[in-house]
Amino acid sequence: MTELDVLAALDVFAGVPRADLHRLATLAPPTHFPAGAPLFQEGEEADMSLLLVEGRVEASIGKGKKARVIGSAGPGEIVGEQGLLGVGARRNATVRTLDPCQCMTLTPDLLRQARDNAALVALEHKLLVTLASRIRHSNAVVQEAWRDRRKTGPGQKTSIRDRLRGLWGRR
Amino acid sequence: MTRDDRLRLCAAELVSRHMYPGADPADVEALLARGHRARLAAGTQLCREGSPGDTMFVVLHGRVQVLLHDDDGGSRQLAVVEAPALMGHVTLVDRSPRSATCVALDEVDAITLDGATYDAAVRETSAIGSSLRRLLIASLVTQLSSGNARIRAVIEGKDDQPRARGRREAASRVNEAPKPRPSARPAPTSPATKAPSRPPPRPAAVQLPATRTGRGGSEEEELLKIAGLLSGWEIDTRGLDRMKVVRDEASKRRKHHRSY
Repeated sequence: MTELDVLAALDVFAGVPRADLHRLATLAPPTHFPAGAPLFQEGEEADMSLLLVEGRVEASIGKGKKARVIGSAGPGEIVGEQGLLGVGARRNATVRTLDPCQCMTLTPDLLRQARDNAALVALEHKLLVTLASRIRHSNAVVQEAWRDRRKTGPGQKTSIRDRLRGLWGRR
Repeated sequence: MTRDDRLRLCAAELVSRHMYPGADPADVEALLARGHRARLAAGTQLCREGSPGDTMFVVLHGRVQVLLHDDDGGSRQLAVVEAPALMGHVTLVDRSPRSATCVALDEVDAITLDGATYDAAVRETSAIGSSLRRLLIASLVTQLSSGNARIRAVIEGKDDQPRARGRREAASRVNEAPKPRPSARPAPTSPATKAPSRPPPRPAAVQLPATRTGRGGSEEEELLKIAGLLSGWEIDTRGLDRMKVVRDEASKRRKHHRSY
């Protein structure tokens, strides 16, 4: 299977003409990373994002013994999308590879160069759907926290706020 | 100011506010020209949480209050968004019910884009399609980070937003949330609030991780999921099992690394 076949097999590129995929792969050739390689470090400046072509990655927050895995991503997923906005955003999690991985680097420059590329259109569409889903989850957590705050009085079981604070707040 | 001037200004400001590589004000202006102009009186409800929707709004002028329902049959303010801004686009992106209620705080001047116009434009490889996608991405990223800031505020006990239209508070909070109107007719001068008959149902698409033990998963797993959300990570709600596996592998690997 050629590199292009691997790209074409990703759900996100279903229906994308091969010529567009080829052009995208030429502009942003996939890079190989060994298993266990750090991709992003929590707190560092974000100036690009990655499309996972092969392999899985995991995200964690915190350092050393306090490090906790908070999620994972696999082929066809975009990680670190805040790096596409180019406004000095910071990485909010550390991301490392779980397997040998192939990733395509997506930069603001690439977005400027290839705006009429159907493969990029497909990626942007996927990103939109992902972000919309995160917003719905975020809203649901806000509502849950409101509910929790009302129900948890003094002396009762530790509230979601306290538990999250312990996990997240002391950074 | 003529309509064209306003569109041009709005397009330029949208692009500068939502910095995203490759979005061009002229293309945004051309996109806006595909929509319809709407003047919404203060108090008009642009969309209602949980209801189906087929319109997005590009707010050219005015402020819009974003509300989420709470358990008291009322709703609370999530944010106040000022023009220029995109509203109601989440529904068009994922074709699910409205994610929040939006109410005009002032007279709002907006462009409406219907679902068919959106669908056609968002798939276009043209400069207009590209500008629409990039504007939406930038707007969603901003929205998400403000949502996550709100979660942090709630966690830290700093969330002092008024509960709007709550049954108990309605009488004492008359000025905080204008009464929603079903149509775009001007609101009367009375700003009296009213509780909706019942809270809208939570959109079925949302699968919130359970946050108390007993409702599924261990407490730590639940918290990690929420932490993942706060970090902007897509959380796989399909299975805690898979997450557990990932973590087990990760801890093995960490042990492995420590042995070096």
